[in-house]
Amino acid sequence: MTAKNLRADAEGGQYLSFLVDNEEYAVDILRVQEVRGWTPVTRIPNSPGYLKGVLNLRGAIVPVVDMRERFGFPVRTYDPTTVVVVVKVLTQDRERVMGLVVDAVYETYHIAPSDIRPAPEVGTAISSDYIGGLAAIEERMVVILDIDRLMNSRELAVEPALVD
Amino acid sequence: MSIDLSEFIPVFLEESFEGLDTMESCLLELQPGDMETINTIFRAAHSIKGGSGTFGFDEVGRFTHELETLLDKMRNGQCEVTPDRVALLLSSVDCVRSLLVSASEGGEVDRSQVEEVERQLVAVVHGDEVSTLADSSASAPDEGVVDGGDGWRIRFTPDPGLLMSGNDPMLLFRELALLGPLEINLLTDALPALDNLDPTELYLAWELTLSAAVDETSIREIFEWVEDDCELILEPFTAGTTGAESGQTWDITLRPDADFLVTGNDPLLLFRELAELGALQVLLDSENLPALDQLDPVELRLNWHMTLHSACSEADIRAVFDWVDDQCELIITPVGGSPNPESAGTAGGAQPLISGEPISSAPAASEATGDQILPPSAPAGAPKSAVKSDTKPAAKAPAGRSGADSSSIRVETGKVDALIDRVGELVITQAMLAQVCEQLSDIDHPAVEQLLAGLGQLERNTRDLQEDVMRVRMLPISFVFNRFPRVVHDVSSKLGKKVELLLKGEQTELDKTVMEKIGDPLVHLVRNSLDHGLETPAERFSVGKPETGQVLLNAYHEGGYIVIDISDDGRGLNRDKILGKAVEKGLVSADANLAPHEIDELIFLPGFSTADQVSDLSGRGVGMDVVRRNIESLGGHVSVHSVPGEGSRFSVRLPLTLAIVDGQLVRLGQDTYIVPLVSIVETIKASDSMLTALGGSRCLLRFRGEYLPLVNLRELFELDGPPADIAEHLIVVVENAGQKLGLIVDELMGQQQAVIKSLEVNFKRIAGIAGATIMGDGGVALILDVAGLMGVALDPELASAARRRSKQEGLDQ
Amino acid sequence: MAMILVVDDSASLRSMVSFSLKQEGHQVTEASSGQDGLNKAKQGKFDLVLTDVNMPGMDGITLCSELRKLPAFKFTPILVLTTESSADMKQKGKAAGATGWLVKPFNPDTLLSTVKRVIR
Repeated sequence: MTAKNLRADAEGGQYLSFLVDNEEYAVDILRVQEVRGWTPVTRIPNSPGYLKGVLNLRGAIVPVVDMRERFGFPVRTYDPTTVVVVVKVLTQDRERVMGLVVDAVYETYHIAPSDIRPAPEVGTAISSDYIGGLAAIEERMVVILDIDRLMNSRELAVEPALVD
Repeated sequence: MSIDLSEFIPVFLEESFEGLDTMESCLLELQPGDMETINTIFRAAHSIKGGSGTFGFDEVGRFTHELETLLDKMRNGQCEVTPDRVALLLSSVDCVRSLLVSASEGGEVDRSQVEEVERQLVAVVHGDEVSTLADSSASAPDEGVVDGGDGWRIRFTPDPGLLMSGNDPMLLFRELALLGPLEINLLTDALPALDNLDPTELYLAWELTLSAAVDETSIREIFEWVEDDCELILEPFTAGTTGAESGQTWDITLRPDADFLVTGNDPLLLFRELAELGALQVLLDSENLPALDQLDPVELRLNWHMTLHSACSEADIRAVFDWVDDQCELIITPVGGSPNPESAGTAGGAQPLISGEPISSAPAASEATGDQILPPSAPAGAPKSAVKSDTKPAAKAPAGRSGADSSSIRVETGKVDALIDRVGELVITQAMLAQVCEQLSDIDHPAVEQLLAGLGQLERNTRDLQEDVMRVRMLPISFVFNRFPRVVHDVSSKLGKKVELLLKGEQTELDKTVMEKIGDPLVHLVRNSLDHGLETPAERFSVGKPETGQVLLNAYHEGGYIVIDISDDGRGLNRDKILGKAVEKGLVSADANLAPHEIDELIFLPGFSTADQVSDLSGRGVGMDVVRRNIESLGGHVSVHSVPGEGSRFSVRLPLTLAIVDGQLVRLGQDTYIVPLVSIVETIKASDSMLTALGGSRCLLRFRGEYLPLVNLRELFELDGPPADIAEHLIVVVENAGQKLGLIVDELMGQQQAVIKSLEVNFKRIAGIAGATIMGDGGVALILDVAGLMGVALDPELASAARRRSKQEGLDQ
Repeated sequence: MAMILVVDDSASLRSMVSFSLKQEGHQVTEASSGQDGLNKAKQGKFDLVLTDVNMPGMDGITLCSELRKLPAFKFTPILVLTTESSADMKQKGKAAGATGWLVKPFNPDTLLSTVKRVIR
């Protein structure tokens, strides 16, 4: 193992990447709880289209979000490679578990912090608000998602504590 | 060692608050001369005080000390129980409570209030002060110690079996002492715990100092008979080798009473304590010791003389003997800076003798089987708790945990909830297996039969397990009812009304979460009855009622629900006044023609308040609408029944638990929803003739002489699916807060008990949805929240149209 | 290390005492009332009994005298946990056969050093 890789081990994080509309996105692998095949979910009334519904994850009721629809990409029918990446999302002072529907899981990487560049204001398919950074890996550009911000925006946000 | 006490504080707080509740309820029913109740109150205060000091709540501890002292005096009959003092004690309970709350959660305490109550307590307590006892300490005659000239240090370690050889260390020592002054140090290192002692064996060793310039042989001669049965080390010494650090030498004489050992005290342990203070020499004086075979193992016939060289004070030495100072004669004398040879002989023939025997033979008794000695056990706790849990009718507040808790444990509710969740999973898994197995039922194989039988068994066990686990969370409603004697006491005295509170069905159980949330609404309803329902004694007298009014709290189970009735024998609701107010506030139109019970229901409308002035009792800025909303948020319902001049009854109906709901499964398109049975009035098939179109897709349903707004749930929820082309519409009529609503569904699918899972854990609250549940196939079904649904679905225009129509219909008939 | 029976109706005190003793390596049996303590005493062997005085039902004093009636507890040290206000209580304790007392409030260090005095 080279010195550079050692440092990456020590300082960098592991990321899981997946494909959405042929773009590669990655999330911190420590946030990934599991990856499972697509199974039908229970729809939630009056919710945006990208919120596909809820599913039973070993007794927990977990909301499932379609990343294509979330990002405004064309809808695609689910096929055998369609997977749900179950992630932990930090919200205010608690942790929520959510499922992300993606086209396919792609790869895992070690990425050193020094290899992550800040997101440009423009030029990406999704809002830079949800991008934690960009990493160039073997000539390809991987978008590292800030899932906490992504999953706490708009209709997915936790409403402030209800006041009686 | 550092031990983090904070870990125990939550438990301490919890039990302290329970203790305060106990004190409060007991105080409210305290009659002069009721020793048992005073004792219960005292014990609660005492525990709080003890814990406060230990866990660092010093202010609480100090305050409770005064409280306890007063209670102690009441208990001893030194202080009379008077209404004033009971009131003072009640205020004290409030003070302790607020001190504890502020110490644990922060927040302000009304200092002046606390100080005032404390001042009053002190005044009562010390008004009849009795002077305290005077301590007498023994003065000290001179007693001796052996000084060494040149001599021998002898270490004598007998084999355990030495006694069985007929030899006796006592006799050996007596011989030795004939050679010169003998100092005996008992070594107990090898001594096992008393109850492990074999009385026939000897576990002791001695270190002897013989202050005589004799030759080694004369000593060895004395031990000649036992030299194979012991280890004997002889070592000559010259005077002045005993430890001499800075400090003081003390002569100590200990003459224990014969029953010294009976309290579990052991001179050897005391010596060990003393030895920690400095260099200790112990001389055994066995003058009074009878021959070994006549020894009563339980009695101590030995005296000891000790020399302690230490920098300690007399008080330090006395502290060692603190526990036994009334069981012995203890003489402590300072001896200048060095051991005093002059005093050596004063012990006279202080013949050093054996000291191990009384101890080592003691367990002889303990080895005997104990059956015949067993005392009749005191029956104190048990029968009392039985009375409390069952047969006691009303009014007597069960003192929380006193009786039954020897067999109960305290568990964090989180653990119980986790258990409930886990059992919920089990139920689901079991249901899933049952479904899978249905497909196997055609297969003719013995194993399939066994499998089905096993699954049947599993299903029964799972159901029982679920019921049992749910029951863990259930507590008797007395936990809430216990608050009311105080509420009634305080409120009625403020209002100048005479009130008798009756409690019924206190043992009726309900879920802890429901219990926690129902307390405030109930308090509000009771205050309302006291404030608005009951008349003043004069008014009551003038209408021929007894001056003392009654408020009855009655809890009972009905179906899967608990019903709590709050009834009073007061004046009943004033319908003219209610209607007037409602019209004035624009809640109903002036020409509305309402039935009496409909007028009564108006008090639950938002923004309604009948009190001419908002009193500080039932007012508090909270109206009946909030009470109703709180109850309904628990999946419950409140209604009122009133007879003018005779009284009112509020009925609160609550689910027994929030964790499980009995539901009607309905299909909307391809999705399954669950409607809680508690909300359902009826499910009907409606023919076109029952429907009245109102333009657009809006529609009214004629149902039992009323017109109800109709809601197409599938449309409301924006669920796609084939258009409903059913000729006969399936309608679930639901009711909440007096409002009925028809829900159009695609199919009715049977009823089921559902374990409610929150959507908020991983997502958020959805209007109209109470939560989700997991079905037998592992899928998720949503549970409707009818109250929330009304908010979302009920078009006010539609609702008022329905009301108008209903009214018209009523007029037409 | 010793086998110790801790009897106290207050769960917080009881768990504090028992936790402290366990830290020192003692084996602790807890009882939440006098009766419970007596029952457990009959079932086990103990080197030391620590008991609260004020308990509903059977109090610590009664427990003491009941224990002394059991052959196995004839010489077992029994310490009563009492408050400083009750000099009288100490006498009652002694009369019932208590070995000594521990004055409340106490901290774990006091507890442990006192227990050392009576553990062989």
